[in-house]
Amino acid sequence: MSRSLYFRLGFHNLDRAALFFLLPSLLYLVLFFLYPFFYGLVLSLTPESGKPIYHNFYLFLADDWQRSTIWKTIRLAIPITLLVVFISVPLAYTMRRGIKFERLITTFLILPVSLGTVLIAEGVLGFLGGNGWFNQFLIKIGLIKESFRFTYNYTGVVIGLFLKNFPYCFLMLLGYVSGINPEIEKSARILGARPMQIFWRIMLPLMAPGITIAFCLVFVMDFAVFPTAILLGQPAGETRTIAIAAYQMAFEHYDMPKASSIAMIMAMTQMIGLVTILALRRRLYRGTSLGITKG
Amino acid sequence: MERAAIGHIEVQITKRFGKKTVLDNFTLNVKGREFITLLGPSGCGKTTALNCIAGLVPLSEGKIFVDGERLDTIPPEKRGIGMVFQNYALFPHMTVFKNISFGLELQKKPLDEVKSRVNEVLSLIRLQGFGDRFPGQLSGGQQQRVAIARALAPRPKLLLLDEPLSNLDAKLRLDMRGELKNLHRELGLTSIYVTHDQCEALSLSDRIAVIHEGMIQQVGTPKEIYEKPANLFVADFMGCENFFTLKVRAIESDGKTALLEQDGFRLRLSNIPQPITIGHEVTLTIRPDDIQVTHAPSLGSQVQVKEEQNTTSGVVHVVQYLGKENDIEIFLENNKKIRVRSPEKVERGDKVTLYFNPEKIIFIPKG
Repeated sequence: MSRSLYFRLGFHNLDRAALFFLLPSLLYLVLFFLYPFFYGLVLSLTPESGKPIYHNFYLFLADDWQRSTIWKTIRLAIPITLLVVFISVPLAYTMRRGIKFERLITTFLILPVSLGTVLIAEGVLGFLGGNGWFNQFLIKIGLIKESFRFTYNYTGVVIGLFLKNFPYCFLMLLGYVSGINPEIEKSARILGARPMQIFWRIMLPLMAPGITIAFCLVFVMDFAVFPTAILLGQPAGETRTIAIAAYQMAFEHYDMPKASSIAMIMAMTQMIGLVTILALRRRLYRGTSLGITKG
Repeated sequence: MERAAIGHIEVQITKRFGKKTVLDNFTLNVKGREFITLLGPSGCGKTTALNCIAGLVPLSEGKIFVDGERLDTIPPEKRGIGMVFQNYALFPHMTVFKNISFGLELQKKPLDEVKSRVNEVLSLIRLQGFGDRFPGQLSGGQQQRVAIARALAPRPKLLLLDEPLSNLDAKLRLDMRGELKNLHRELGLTSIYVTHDQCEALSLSDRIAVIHEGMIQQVGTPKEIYEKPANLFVADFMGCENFFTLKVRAIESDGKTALLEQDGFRLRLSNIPQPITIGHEVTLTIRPDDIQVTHAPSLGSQVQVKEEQNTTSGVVHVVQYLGKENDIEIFLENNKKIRVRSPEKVERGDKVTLYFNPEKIIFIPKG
């Protein structure tokens, strides 16, 4: 490393001890993120001999059936993310100063997080499946004649992902909103703002950074959907997401270079999504968010 | 700036949180254009009282009137009150201009009026040209001034201030105190100020209400509160740290001069403001600055003449250097601890003579 770069990166401020204690996390980053990423990138750019370097990408994008997985994933990820965030925001907002039975409610919300994807899917199948309690109940009371199909299709994946990702989003937003100085709201009230005006003009802009982060995280989780899409969806049809395509290429066709190229395409699509969200947020609200608590 | 409404306030409220009574039949009359301070230790209910007036906390019982009109039945956003909070509570995502114009825009004022009023209050707080800044770019003192401007812009009938200076450092606090006093003189706006700082209360207020455990202990001018505390709590809170309970031993023929004594500590006082009977106890107090302390004279010295009346001797226990003077803890011969503030140079273990100026002694009414 040249001396000027050494200074520009601020390494002259790091003493040996700091570097030493940084080592485990750097090692982790290199071993489990950077190395696999670049390994995959190189792999994806190593097609069969005699083909151009972008050949694996070309094959995926030229194939209608393969290419459609991008759209199928987006079609799941964006609506579910919107649904999760739009339900979480008002709920977290109303609970920001605490409500009755808050602990009980929070416990119920955390439960799905701790149970894991497969158990949630089992639960949804048992409750909403063709012979599930819900359908049986609707038939018993004569509302419908044939079972309504909630599972093994698009709806099934939406329900499963919602149950899995809603608690994350809600709890994160709840933490964020309760962190906003309550006197900001009080002063708006005294200046003449009605509750709805306070929400739209004061609290929502202050929540915007938190909502953006929550949106990004839920989007990433939704975009990588794999077990839910298989267990509750139609993995050979309308919910064949890009993760499933990558899995099949890797472990059914044992073609690692092509699988890697699919993973790269998935990463790029995700990045485009995240950049779009952050750009939108920057256009909507400017200025700082949470704290100007000096002194 | 044009004068706001008169703003005569009558408050009579009780507030309970669950089983705990925070304000017990709290009754206060504030004259129009008056600056009144609610003074008390933390948890005494003063902030709750302010929040009740603002409408941020519902009353358990009672009524609030402003200029004869019922206030407590109106939602807070329609009360026409200005409020300033301890931590400024500015809207961090809005510029200074937008912060101040927020209340005016909600009143649907025309744009040019909004602009002229914002500029008016900005010059009032001497922050012209700061309209485009964000609160995060201002110092603590500037932020608090913006908060005051924001409260004043809609021309409220009443200004509530909840410990507005507590977050500022000592020097800035003193400057802001002056500015607040100036603002009140210029605008003549009825103001209710909450603080736990007796200096702030004494320097700013027309009147002070001392509060303890949800009850008003005494209401009066700063001079009355300082010189004639109504009870032990007020006296203690206003910085009288030395309390004595003495028995009346003898009364002289004028009926007002008496010899008081307890455990060998003796005072001869005239002009006792309360009826006295031999054998009864009286409670009195004296501020640390009103006790004179001198090194105990060696035997045979001339100064001893003075020893006769209202003096006693003691031993220095702790000395804290405060610059202009020392804060000295002294144990009297009867082991009672006395706090004195004096420029006299003393050290731990020194024998000293204390003189209690009878004119500075404050009698505390019974009950």
